[in-house]
Amino acid sequence: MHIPDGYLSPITYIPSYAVAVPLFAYGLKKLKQELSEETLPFIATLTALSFLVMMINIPIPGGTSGHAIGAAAIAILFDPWISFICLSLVLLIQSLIFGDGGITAWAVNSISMGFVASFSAYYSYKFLKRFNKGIALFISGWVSIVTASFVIALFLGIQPIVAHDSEGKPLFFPFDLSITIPALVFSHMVYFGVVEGIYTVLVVKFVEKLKLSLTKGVQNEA
Amino acid sequence: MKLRYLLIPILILLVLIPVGLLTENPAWGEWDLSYFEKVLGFVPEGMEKGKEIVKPVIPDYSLGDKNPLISYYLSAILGIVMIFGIFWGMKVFLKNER
Repeated sequence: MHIPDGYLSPITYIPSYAVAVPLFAYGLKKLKQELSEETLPFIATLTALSFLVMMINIPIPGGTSGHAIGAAAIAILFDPWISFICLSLVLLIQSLIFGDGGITAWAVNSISMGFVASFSAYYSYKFLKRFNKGIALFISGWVSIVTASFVIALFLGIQPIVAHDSEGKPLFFPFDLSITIPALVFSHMVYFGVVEGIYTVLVVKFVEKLKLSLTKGVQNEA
Repeated sequence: MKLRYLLIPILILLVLIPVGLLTENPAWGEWDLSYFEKVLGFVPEGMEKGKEIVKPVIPDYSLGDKNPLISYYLSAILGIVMIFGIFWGMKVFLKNER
């Protein structure tokens, strides 16, 4: 789901930066408020987990592969703004150091895998947790990556419409929405959404247990 | 300190990351430019020009002739160290600011 350089036209990525920069600024402000001696190890660990889980490429039928992204867990445990910043940081490192995802596409990748995934997970969980917590976590993870894949499909699929030469030849990513949406969204609904759902359940439950035992430890000492 | 338990999920994922090397399949859309040449008969102009504006330090998590598994692990560890370093740096910076 990491869009490389050369896939998006400047008419797409320049406005995407204009949208993303104020979001980054606000997210960083939120992170500043939240970052403390107690929260730092958790936030840093969850960010590292997101980086690692994205390295675990899972092959699927049809000759492609994909992975979970780990945004939902951070959004649910902390705050969707913080999750957005954490994912954007991971995407920046992946782009600059490992060439995974383009630097021109960083804003679009951050908006989809960071912003959209985090907020869709956060609100799904907020709505669903009253029914059953485990199921709510799973569905929120699933929703987060499916909505992110939809946004990526949109950005890729509009390229042949917004950027072609006088003969209609595409200048950037050549396949339109009728191809990108089924290919990307379907594979995330069936495969990677399930992986993200399981990851979200396991990570959120683990961190909550650990946090609880930490606060209990403090109370016992007092 | 119980915080060391946070290492458990990191270690679990570190054990699992070789799975990511098992497949040669790229993610959907993330093909080599030769794929577009094959399917379309040409490579879109902007894609040809636009690739690798910035040269990555360790392209595709691969350190040249090093064993792919070792490269992948070194990349994973470098990523973890960078992430913790950046958050720690932010905390120090914030402390000084306050």
